[in-house]
Amino acid sequence: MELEMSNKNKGKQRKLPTLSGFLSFVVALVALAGVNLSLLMDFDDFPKMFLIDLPIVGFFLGLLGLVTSKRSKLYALWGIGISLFILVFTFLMIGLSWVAINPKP
Amino acid sequence: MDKKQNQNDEELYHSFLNESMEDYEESYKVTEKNQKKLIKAGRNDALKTNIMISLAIILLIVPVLTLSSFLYYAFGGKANHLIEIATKTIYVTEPNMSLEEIEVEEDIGFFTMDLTFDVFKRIGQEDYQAGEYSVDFALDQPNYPEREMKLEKPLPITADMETDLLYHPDGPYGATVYSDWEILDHLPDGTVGEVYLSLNQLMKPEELEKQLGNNVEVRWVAVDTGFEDKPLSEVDYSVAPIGYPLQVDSTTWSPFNGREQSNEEVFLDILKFLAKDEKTAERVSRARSLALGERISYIEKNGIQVYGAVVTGPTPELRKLKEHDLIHIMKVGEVKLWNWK
Repeated sequence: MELEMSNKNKGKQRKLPTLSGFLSFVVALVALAGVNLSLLMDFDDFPKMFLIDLPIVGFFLGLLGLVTSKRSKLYALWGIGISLFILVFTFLMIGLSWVAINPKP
Repeated sequence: MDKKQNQNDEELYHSFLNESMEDYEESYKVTEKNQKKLIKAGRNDALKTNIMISLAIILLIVPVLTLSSFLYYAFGGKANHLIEIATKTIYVTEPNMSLEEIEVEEDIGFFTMDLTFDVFKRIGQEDYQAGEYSVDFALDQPNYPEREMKLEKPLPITADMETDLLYHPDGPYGATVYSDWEILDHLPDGTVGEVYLSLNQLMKPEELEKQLGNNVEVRWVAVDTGFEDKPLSEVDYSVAPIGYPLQVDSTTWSPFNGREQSNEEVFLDILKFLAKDEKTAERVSRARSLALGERISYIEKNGIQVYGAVVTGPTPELRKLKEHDLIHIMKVGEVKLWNWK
């Protein structure tokens, strides 16, 4: 008969994967804040960093967080969700403005 | 014997269990300090999660609303349809006014769309910017357009049969209006002008063009639709002249490009198109009402007969129109420096 507690060292192993899920969420939030700013301030330039670069980084960080640890799943899922939303948002906005609303050759 | 054996086993079991429990408490005991630390860490973690999720939801509001607005205007070509109504209304309700469809700018906000575009008048042989129009839509309902005119003699913002300088020969309007021949007499020869002619009789647009000759250009004709010769008390609506550009506009995007249909056919098509969204077209036009249903059936029954026209040409040629028996009233519109080639 053995009453063994087997989670002695988990705390230390968990740190890196937790960080990737958390980072994914943070990166997605920064990108989302950038999208808000550019929409509200009516920027003329296409903010590529907020609309494409950061969401891609957030998405992959989220995937990493998702496969490596249970505890960071919530953050990772939010990170992936927001990143995907921004990418879909960008794709649809460009598509609609070019094709569906007042198209110009 | 068996009873004694059982008792021994039970004692042994209890002592073993107690020993294990003590062992566990010794090796896994969390001190009070550590407990507080753990609770604090848990609380901080929950707070951090709450803050981040709330922030995400707040930051999602603007992009979600923007995307929904774009989807609303794109779905079923709503934006393009509204742009088409606005531009076509200008062609048929504003004398000698044209616009460049390709230059129409749209700005989509939260379920609003602001259209801005320049309108042009042909004076002599050049197009001059006549003004800048801005039509704001809330969902698909337009506000009254804002017009910033750059003309010397712009027509009033609200139009009726008295204001648009084109009077029906049998109508009550224009009885006290005198022609502007004196203005033309005082203008130098090196100028070109735009004049509004009200005729003495109804006639076919081609016939009018033939009568006025090649030295002037008929830009826009006002069509008799059965409302123009009646006083307001006899009709239910306060209408303003409607008509269409007589010359083919070769720019690709103009509906009057003359490639598949004549301008007359395009005019009727536009009226039928606008009749489906008459309320929207009325808001965009300067007239209080368009009464398109009645006007379309009148035109289909009687054909296109014109009672007035906007004509442009060199001032000396315009002066010669005074001798025409055809012209009842002449009002001067815009005048520009010589550009007639």
